[in-house]
Amino acid sequence: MRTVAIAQVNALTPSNYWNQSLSELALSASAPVLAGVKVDSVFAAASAPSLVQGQADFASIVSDRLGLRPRVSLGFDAADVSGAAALYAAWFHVSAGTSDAALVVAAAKVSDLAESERHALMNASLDREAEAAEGVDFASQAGLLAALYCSERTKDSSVFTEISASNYAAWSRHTDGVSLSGADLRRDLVVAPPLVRSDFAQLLDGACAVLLVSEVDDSSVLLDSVATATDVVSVWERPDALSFRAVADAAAAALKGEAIPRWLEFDTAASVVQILSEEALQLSDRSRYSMNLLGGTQGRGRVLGASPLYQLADAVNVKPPYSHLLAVSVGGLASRAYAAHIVRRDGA
Amino acid sequence: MNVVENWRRRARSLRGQYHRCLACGAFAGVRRLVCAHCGADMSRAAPSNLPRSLPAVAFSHSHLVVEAMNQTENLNPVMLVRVGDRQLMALPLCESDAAIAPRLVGESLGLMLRRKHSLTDPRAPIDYERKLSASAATRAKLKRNELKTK
Repeated sequence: MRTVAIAQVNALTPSNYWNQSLSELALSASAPVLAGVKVDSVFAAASAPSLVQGQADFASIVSDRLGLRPRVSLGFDAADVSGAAALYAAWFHVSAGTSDAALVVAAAKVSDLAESERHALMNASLDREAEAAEGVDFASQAGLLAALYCSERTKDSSVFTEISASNYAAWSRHTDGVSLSGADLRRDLVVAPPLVRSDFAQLLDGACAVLLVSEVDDSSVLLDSVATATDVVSVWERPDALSFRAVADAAAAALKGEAIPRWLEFDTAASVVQILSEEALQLSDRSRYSMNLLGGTQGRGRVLGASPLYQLADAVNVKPPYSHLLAVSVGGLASRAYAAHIVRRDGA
Repeated sequence: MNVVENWRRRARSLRGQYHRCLACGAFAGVRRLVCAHCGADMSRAAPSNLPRSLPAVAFSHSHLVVEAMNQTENLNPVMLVRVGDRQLMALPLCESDAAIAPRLVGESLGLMLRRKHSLTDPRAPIDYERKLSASAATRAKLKRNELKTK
């Protein structure tokens, strides 16, 4: 297997891009990455474009808009971790030698949707024939999971807003904004008790493009490995609803026996999912780790399906506290997880 | 309302029946080849009635559209209940019990046939499904406790 490097990353700041469509967002993110590079494969991702935009085969649309005729052009729709699925395939192609320069691009366009339709997007990550069929939607299941966590671990519900507050504070430091404390966030609107509005990542438009190459030099940021794992989709049919096995398995496979790095990035839909993902990694003392340096998906807003690639943008763009980073993307309520092990050789 | 889908789901929606593992007794919300709890073969599992009385473990709801703070008409309450010794299940709770839902945690709830709320079309044909509901005795007990605390 060949070593894979992240040659270029370009992420559009999550926002409401009223004047751009899904494919235009993908184009805006990809164009700067492609300058002077001959891309031989394209891996394009979006969350349910067939459902949301009525657009099938997003990869051919992206290749067409970018004027590319790649040998490989594949589309990925895996709900909120679509971008991670595309990254996994691209990393595999480059490391296996079937591609020398792979473009991975993921985009989300949700500002066209009514609010109830945005809300329903996360329901697509559930098993539609299990609880979702009875109207037990994503938010209420996250609320039940949080309530069960408090009951089983004898924790106060403030544990969720403390996590949210730390994510928002990280983003505020980055943007010179104002940060709120956990106590402030507890006064937010109750969405799915015990979770409040701020416990859920806001869904926004955006796109991120990543160029993976096989050529490596001393300054390269290395994508050492990408791994994935699945679990029973219905969280309540798992032997232990609070045990995120997919997260643990994906991280173990990505790290190949190495210890959990001190730098962690989490891409999750809600604070309770981050807490249980941290538990799955069996972190001995949370304060010993640098987490979500730019606030993660909660801090900056979640570009549904593309957020796993935003983690790579963070990995490349921030001043690294450590040389090794584990980026974990959790699909839905952890029915699927991806883990990427990234090496910054200029890190501590 | 999708008539064919409703007909296909009638055992679960109308009779409260789920596929049950013959080895460990766990219920499955969907047809599975292998039990998610014990790993036993479930290819010959047949629909079986859920217990009619289920202890409530946790409560939540989903009635708020996050971005604009628009609240939907119904609270859409849900309850996490214990099925047997080891299994949990998330089921909708009757809207009529939504106001007392937090106090129903720890109580036993029944699985009743109730009208299904149409989110999209108020003129849609009336559709029914199983929902959790407190018994009259449980409601009366909670009322007595409320009066005592006042």
